[in-house]
Amino acid sequence: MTPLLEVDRLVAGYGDSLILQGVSLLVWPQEIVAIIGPNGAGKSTLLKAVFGLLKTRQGQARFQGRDISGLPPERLVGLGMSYVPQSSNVFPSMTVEENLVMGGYASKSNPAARIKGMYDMFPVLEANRRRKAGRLSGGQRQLLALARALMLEPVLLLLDEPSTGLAPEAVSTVFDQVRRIQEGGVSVVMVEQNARQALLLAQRGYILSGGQNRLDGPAADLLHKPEVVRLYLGG
Amino acid sequence: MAGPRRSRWLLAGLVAASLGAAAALTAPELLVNGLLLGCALALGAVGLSAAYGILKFIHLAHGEFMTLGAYLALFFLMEVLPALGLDSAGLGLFTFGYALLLALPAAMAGASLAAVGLDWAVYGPLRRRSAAPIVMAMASLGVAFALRALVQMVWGNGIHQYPRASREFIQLPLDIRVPPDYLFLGAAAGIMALLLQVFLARTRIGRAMRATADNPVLARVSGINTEATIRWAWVVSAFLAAAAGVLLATANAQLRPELGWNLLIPLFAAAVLGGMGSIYGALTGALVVGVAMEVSTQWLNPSYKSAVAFGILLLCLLFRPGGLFGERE
Repeated sequence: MTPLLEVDRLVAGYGDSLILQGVSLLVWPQEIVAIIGPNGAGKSTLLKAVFGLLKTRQGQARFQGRDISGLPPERLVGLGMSYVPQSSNVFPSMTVEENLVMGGYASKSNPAARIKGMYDMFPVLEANRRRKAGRLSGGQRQLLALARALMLEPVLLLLDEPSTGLAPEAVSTVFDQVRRIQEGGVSVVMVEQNARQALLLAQRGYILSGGQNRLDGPAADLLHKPEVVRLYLGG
Repeated sequence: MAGPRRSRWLLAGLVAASLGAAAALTAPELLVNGLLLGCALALGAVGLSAAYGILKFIHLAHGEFMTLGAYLALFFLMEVLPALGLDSAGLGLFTFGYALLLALPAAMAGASLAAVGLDWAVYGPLRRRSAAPIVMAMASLGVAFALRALVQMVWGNGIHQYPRASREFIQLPLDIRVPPDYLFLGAAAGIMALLLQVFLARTRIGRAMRATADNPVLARVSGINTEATIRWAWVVSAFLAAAAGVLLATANAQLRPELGWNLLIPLFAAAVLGGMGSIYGALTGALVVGVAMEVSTQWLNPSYKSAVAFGILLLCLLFRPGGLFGERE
């Protein structure tokens, strides 16, 4: 079996500061991978670099065996990969339905059927379809961000801190949806501050720090490693 | 959420209502003329606001798109269309002829081409070097001077006029007298605003423009080619500015190289009042500014019209920097 996503010693950053100093990552079909680590470890930067929002200096990223290093995001969406940025991840002045239409922008086919599918999956969005996305609650907005990213039926979803700024109940709603998305056959790479909950949801985890891999393995093992608990899970 | 939103609309309604009431009581004619003038400002302000929303810098050469459009129409009216033997003046009620109906879209297209050319030559290279918004704004100031100088080199510094026939003012109820060309201006601006609305709400490119203005990173991540979207934003914004320039030159019965530059303050007042980046805000803001400028002539010397616009801009920046109708706070 070939991995869905294979990141090999990636070096990337902004301007002169290289935030990622050779990070590697493997994602297999239909699994949830949690990426955790302290602030400034390069977790979000890793997703941005994989999705073509940052120039990679060295190393390689392969998606379904194909080299995608240096491809811009507008090319990647057509390949079956989708990305949900942290916090500002909807079009605030557009309606919920228009946000979903924009999610399907890269495909020329009529998005109506797919939008219907999203409404079945997220009934709260259908109830608010004519509302502007900027007026949704934090949790609803996060669900809209997920739905937008699913419009093109990706096989890999990159999520940047989906729990940011959410109330605890909203966090569990969003995490439940992530599990359902995985059950639908999609792999999810999730960067999270909320490390314990993320590892409880994921099959495997990676711990980054200082722009490098520290530890990785089955999520259940990481949850019980004393040094992980002490350093990254807050005791 | 409902609280601030309702108070915002309440305030906007109050401002509009008190302006309207004052105007209707003291000078109904000025109110009507101000609304029609506001329509022309609206075309300019919408483009300015849209350019800001997508490009994230203050485009100081926007007024020059108006000037350029007006002079391109002059070129078509004087040099090209007479050769085709078209009526040059006096179509029905209006001072202008069929020729203007052809010169208008031609000038709009010409100005759009110029805007795309400028993006290719000036703004695009700066953008790819990640120039700061202030650098972009200063570059656009340079472009403004260059464009005006170009107009002065080609057409001279004097006053021009489109071919026109003399026409009676139109008499409306309440003893309101309106120059006939103002009605054409209002109707043309209204139609263009409607077309713009349909374009932004229903077409693929229009939606991509709104999405890019809203959240450029998410737009790219959704597969939108933001560079192509930016070119379209220039096309639309210059298209509307040129229309405003031609319509104003027609309605004012004169054309000078300072046409657009002198309107920059009213345009900014309208765009800021509506909330920079908000299309519908700019439309409404322009109507308010247009009415305020016209109605002020009841009490003030007409040469203070720009000062009135500047006053609105100042008050708005002091008390409501996000604009009366801004989408984002």
